[in-house]
Amino acid sequence: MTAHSSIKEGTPRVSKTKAAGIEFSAVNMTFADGTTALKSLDLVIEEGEFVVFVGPSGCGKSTALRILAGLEQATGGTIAIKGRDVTDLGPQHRDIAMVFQSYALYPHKTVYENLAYPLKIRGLGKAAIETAVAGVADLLGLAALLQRKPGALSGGQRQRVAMGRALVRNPKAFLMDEPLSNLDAALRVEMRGEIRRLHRRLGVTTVYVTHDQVEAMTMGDRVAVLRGGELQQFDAPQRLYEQPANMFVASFIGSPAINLAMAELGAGSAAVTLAGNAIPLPPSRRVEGQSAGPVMIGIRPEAFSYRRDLEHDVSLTITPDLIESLGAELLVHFAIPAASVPVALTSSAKSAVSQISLPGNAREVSTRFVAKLDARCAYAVGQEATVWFSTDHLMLFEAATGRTILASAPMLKLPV
Amino acid sequence: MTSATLPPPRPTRRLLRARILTLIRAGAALIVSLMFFAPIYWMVLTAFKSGNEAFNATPSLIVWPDFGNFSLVLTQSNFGLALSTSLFVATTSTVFCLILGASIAYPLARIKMRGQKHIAFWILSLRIIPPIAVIIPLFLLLRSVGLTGSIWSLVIVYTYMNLPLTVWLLRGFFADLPAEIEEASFVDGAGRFRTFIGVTLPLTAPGFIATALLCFIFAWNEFLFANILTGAATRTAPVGLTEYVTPVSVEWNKIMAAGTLVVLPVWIGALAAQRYLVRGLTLGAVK
Repeated sequence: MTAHSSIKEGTPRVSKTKAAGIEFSAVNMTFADGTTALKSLDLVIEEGEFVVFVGPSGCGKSTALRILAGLEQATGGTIAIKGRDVTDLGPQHRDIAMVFQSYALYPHKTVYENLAYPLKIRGLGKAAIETAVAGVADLLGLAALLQRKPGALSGGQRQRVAMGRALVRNPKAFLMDEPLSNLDAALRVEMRGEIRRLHRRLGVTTVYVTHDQVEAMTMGDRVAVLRGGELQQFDAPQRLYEQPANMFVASFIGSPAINLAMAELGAGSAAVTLAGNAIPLPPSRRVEGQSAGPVMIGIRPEAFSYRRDLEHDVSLTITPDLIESLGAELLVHFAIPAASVPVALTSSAKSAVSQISLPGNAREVSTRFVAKLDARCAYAVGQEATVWFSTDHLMLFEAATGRTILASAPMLKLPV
Repeated sequence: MTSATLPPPRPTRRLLRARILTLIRAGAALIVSLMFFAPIYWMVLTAFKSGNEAFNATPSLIVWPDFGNFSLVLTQSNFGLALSTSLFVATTSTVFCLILGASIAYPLARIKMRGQKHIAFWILSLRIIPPIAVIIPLFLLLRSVGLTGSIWSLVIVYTYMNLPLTVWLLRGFFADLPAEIEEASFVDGAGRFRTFIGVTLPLTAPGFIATALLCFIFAWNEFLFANILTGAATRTAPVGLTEYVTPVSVEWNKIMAAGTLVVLPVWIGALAAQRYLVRGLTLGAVK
C-alpha cells in the first residue's frame, strides 16, 4: 500500500452530474508487476443507489472498490464522492465505511469497542458513543454480545459486527467487499435480504462487490459487470438478463447459464439457421452491424416451453439425455448438432479475443443445451420430444467480438 | 457368553510399541533437561558453599544454604553497582532497539517497494559479522567521540548489535498481521500513526515482548564489548564477575553467588514472559 503523505485540500471539484453519489472517471490501475486491473473505468453511481460490481475473479471489481476506498492508489483517472474529488485523499479522509470479506474485526477489542472505534476516532463523547452503539446493536441483534471478543463469536455474528461497525456512523457511502462469502448458504440468503432492507431504510449509496451473479441480480439497483478490468455493462439486473450488451454478460448472468451455439445468419437478416432449423427473425427486431454470415445464437433455458402458445412459436426437436428435477421444473439436457462458441468470448480472461478461429465444419459438431421446462411436460431421457421457444427471447452475437447484434424485442403485453 | 467371562483385554502389539516409544522419548527429554540444568544447579550450589567447601575434591551435592556469599558480594564489592549498570544498559538499549526496530520493520513489512527483500536481507547480514571483527574500529570510533568508559557507549553498541535481529523479528510479526485489520482502521477514520498505536501495536505485543526479551538477554549477558568499553566505575555484571579472579586466588563461591545474581533477573523475566515468548515466536504460524 502506498502511504498517503500529501493530502490535497484544494478546491473540491464539482462533478457535472449533480446527483452523482460516486463517480469514477477514466480510472486506470496497473500494478507494479505490470498487470492491468482496471482499464479506463467510467461509472456514475447515483446518490442513494445500491450498485453491485460483479465479475469472475481477477476482473478488477475488488480493485475498483479498494481504489474507491482509498486503500489503493489508481494509476490514472479521478474518483469523486458526492461531488468532491477524493482521488488524492487517504481512506481516513473519505468518510466511507467498508465491510471486508474477512470482516477485519479488531480481535483485541470487544464487540462494543469494535463498534465504538470509528466514533472514538471522530472524538465523540462517551454518552453519544453509547447511544450510537446501542442503536446499532439493537438494529443488528448484537445487544447480548457487546462484551464478547470477536474470537468468541460465530461467523454470522462476526459478519453482523462488521456491518455494525460500518453502520454506526453516517458515512457518505458503504463499500462491501464480498461480505457474505464466508457464510453458509442459508445465512447468506438471510443476510442478503437484511442488507437490502437496511439499505432501503438508510438510503446511503452502497457499492457491493461479489462474484456471485445471483447475489448481484437480487441485491443491486444496478449491476456493473466487469471482465478483465473493463466494464462490460452497467444496467438494472432485469436488463442485464434480457438485453445483455455482449455474449460475456449473457453467459455470466443467469443460472443455469444461457445456451450458446454457432449459427448462420441468412441473407438480408431475415432468418438465422441453427443446426439446420431456419428460424425467421421478426421484423420488429433489427440486426445491427452484420447482414449475413456466422453469428452466435443465445437462448436462455427459461425461454423454452414444452407447449406451443402465442409466445412460444418456434420448435426444436430434441432427445433429452439427462433430466434433473427441481420440483416445479425440470432441467432437460440435450445436444444439438451445432458448433460450440469460442471459449475466449465467455471465459473470464479477456486475452486472445482477436485470435479466435471459428470452429471448422469438418469437426464433429455438437453443443450442449439445457431447457428449463414445467414439470408437467413429463419428458423422458432418450425419447424424442419437442421444445418451443420465442424469437423474442433469441439473442444474436457478432462472431468475432461477441457483441450483441440483435436489437431487443419491444416489450409485449401478452393477454393473460 | 456374557462379557464377565472374557479375559481382561491385553494390550495389542501396536499399543505396546507406542508405550515403549513414549518411555524412550521421556527418557531422552530427561537426559537433555539434566544436561542443561546441571551447570545451573552447580552454580547455585556452589554459591551457597563456603570457600573451603567449594574446593572440596569430592563435591557435596546437597548443601545447607548459607547466604554469606551473597551478602559479601553485594556489600563488600562493587557488584551491586555493576548489577544496576547492567540493568540500565540492557533496559535502555532494549527500549531503543524496539523503537528504532519497529520504525524500520513496519515500513519494510507494509509498504511495497522495489528491492524490499534485499534491504531486509542486508539488515540481517549485519548480524553475520562476528563482534570481534568490529571491536577495534568501534573502540576507535567511540574514543574519538569521547564515549569510551561511559555506559552510553554500551547502550549504543548493544542497540547497534541487536537492531538487525529486532528488525528481522518485528518485520515478521508485522507481516503476519492481516493488512485488512489495519485497512479497516484507516477506513474507520484513523491515520497511520493512530492505527499503529491502537491496532497494530496491541496485536503484535506478544512479538514485541519476545523480541524485547531476546534483546535484553543479549545486552545483559554480553561480555566482550563490556569488558573493553567500560571503566572501573561503569563495568557491567558479567565483567564484574572477573573481579573475583585474582592472581592469588579464584573465589569460586563468590563468582557463583554473583553469577546466580546475574542469572536470576533473566530467569524471572523469561518465566514471566514465557507465555508471550512461545506465542510471539510462533505468532502467525497458525491463523
